[in-house]
Amino acid sequence: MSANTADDPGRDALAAQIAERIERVADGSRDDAALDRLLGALASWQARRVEPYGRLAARAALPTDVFRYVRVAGHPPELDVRVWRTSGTTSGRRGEHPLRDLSLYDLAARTAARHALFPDVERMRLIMMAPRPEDAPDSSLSYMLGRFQSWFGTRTDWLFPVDGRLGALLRSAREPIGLLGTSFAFVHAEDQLGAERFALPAGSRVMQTGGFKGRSRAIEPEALRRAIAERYGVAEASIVEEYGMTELSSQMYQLTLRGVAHRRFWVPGWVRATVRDTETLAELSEGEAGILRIDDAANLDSVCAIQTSDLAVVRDGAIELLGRASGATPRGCSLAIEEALG
Amino acid sequence: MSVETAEGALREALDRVEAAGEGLRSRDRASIADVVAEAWERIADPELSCGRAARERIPVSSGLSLPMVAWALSVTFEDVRAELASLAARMEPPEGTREAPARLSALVLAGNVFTACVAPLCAGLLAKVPLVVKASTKDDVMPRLFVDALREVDAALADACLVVAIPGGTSNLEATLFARADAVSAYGTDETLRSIRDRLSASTSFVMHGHGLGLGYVSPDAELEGAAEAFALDVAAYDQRGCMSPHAIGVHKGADAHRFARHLAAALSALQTTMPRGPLPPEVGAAQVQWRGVAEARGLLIEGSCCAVSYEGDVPPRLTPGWRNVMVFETDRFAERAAAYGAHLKTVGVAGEPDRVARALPTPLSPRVCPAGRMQRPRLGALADGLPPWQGFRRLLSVET
Repeated sequence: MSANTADDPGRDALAAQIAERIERVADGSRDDAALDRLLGALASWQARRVEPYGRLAARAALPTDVFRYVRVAGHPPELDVRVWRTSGTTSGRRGEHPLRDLSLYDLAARTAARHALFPDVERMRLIMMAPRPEDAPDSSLSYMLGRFQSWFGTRTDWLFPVDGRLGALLRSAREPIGLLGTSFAFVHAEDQLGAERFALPAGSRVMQTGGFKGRSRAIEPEALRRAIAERYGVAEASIVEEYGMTELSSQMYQLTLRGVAHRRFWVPGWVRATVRDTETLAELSEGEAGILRIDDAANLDSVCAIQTSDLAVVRDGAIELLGRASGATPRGCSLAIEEALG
Repeated sequence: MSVETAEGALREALDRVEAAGEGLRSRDRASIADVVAEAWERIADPELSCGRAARERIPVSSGLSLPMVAWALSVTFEDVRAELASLAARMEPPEGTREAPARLSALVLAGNVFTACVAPLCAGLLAKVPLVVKASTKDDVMPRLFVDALREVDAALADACLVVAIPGGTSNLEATLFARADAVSAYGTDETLRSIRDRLSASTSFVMHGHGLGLGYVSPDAELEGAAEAFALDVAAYDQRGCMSPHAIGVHKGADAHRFARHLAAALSALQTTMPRGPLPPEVGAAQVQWRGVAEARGLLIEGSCCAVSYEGDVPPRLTPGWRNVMVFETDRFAERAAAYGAHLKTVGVAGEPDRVARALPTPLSPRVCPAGRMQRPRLGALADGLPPWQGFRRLLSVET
């Protein structure tokens, strides 16, 4: 129990239950009945404490856009230890996700990454193509990568923006490397490295995450994966995509490093992923396309039930993304209008 | 004449259209107006083959319901003959000038509202300019129907109008077209317009119509229920996908915005019976969930039959995903709220006195200001982005004696 939560025994009890659930399913197993009971209790507790969520009780999942307009937290601002913010480069106002305590975030991030990204190695050399946490204190990705440095790294280099140092680091690599970064950083690297190709040592892996956010040209996922494989001399199975967002505390990964052939995103045992009908929000069956809803038990201090804009299909419990809706930009209207209105 | 063609065939087609300009320029403008009116009346008439074709094909290509398409055809062309005659009269060159129409004009259409092509087609032909219409590949039905109807009425005039669909990735065909046109009138996103502008010569006349949206205003003395019914029509028309569609309606603080919002939701729900909304695309549905969630989280959300109205107090207007989602906000500074839209504000609908609202709008805003209920029914001669509809199609040659 942290000093920040000392006067909140209800919260502490829930936090302990969530932590226990995460640890219990760290091996990749699931107990959906137990998870649903926990999520139900969590949602009820949050509906009483998070005012905008309480107003949406009938709707039952908070759309991510709400984070751009109102504070979504069950605690007052003076208890914030971090506030994650969305990038804001494609949609004007930035969403904010305040956190009162980072212990559940850390537990979820470490458990998922151990299972999916570092299942076969305790620690390894890491190269991060992202801002350092101290340079981007409101970036949940930078924070997570900073924690990876502590948990999984031997030597760690940070490159942002991507420049000529990347080639030098890769040329001198004599041990397996974990190369982690945003999709647009990998695109910038493609443009930086010219015709040079590398042959990273066996055991190397790549993690890429996120969209292009208007910071680089956009490339189809398969094309980017092929380009990365060819550039760095790694098998495509060693390239893992990560799915996360500012509004969540947990991340989802592809499991290709564990020998899973498909490219759907594994849903950890403390998270529920369902797809919903765009008009009725009714839950759809596996194999039907709809908008993705994520119930993240690690989202203790905000709202666990999050409605995304992502179109997806769930197959065998894993998420297949079909693309992201363009936010509030209607057909025929430009991004400039949305930005003009703020 | 309509053609999908490789570059050589396109050049030949452009030659023919341009050659038809000589006959067009020698015609009396009033007679052109008569012929064009006749063509549109054929499309509006459900008893004629053009009219039947319109009602069969436009719902499929546009995604609008048949009743919506039928309504749009009816209101757009109810006074077309008189409006064209009036427009023709206004276009006569002033004393001391002679008109110099473009030899060939390219008209680049967006695909969001199927009647958006009507005004520029009319203005171009009345300006005596041969037209090449580059229609949206997603929806080229209306311009093609027009040329077909025109051919039934007057084959020589139809020869002066060519519809082409140039698929994406065939930039050489677009280059051929733009190189030949000495006037280009284009509708589309900022990105589309920039792309076109960058490919035109410095001497080509270029008139841009960027995407935009509408705003409504309820004055303090407006009758709320009647205002709600009028604005409901403005919102529902074309499923709120047009550049004139209102996304937000400001209610003066002297009026009961909450009550207006409820009336508006009821009126929109009622319209679902007579003019049902088309099927919701998944990406719009996803955006709708987000928009409605914000409304519910910080204000009041009134969901009706295939529609929703939000009431969020005195806050800046928030862009909606369209498709019959509209925001009501309170305000005592409507002009300031309107100014935030800038050049994207195309139409202001007013329940009250349009003139008073127009005078309060800050320069250089130049939307069309009209009564509520008419936001999506501009007259044929209405200004577009503050410019006359024939802007760019011709110049005037001054004769000094």
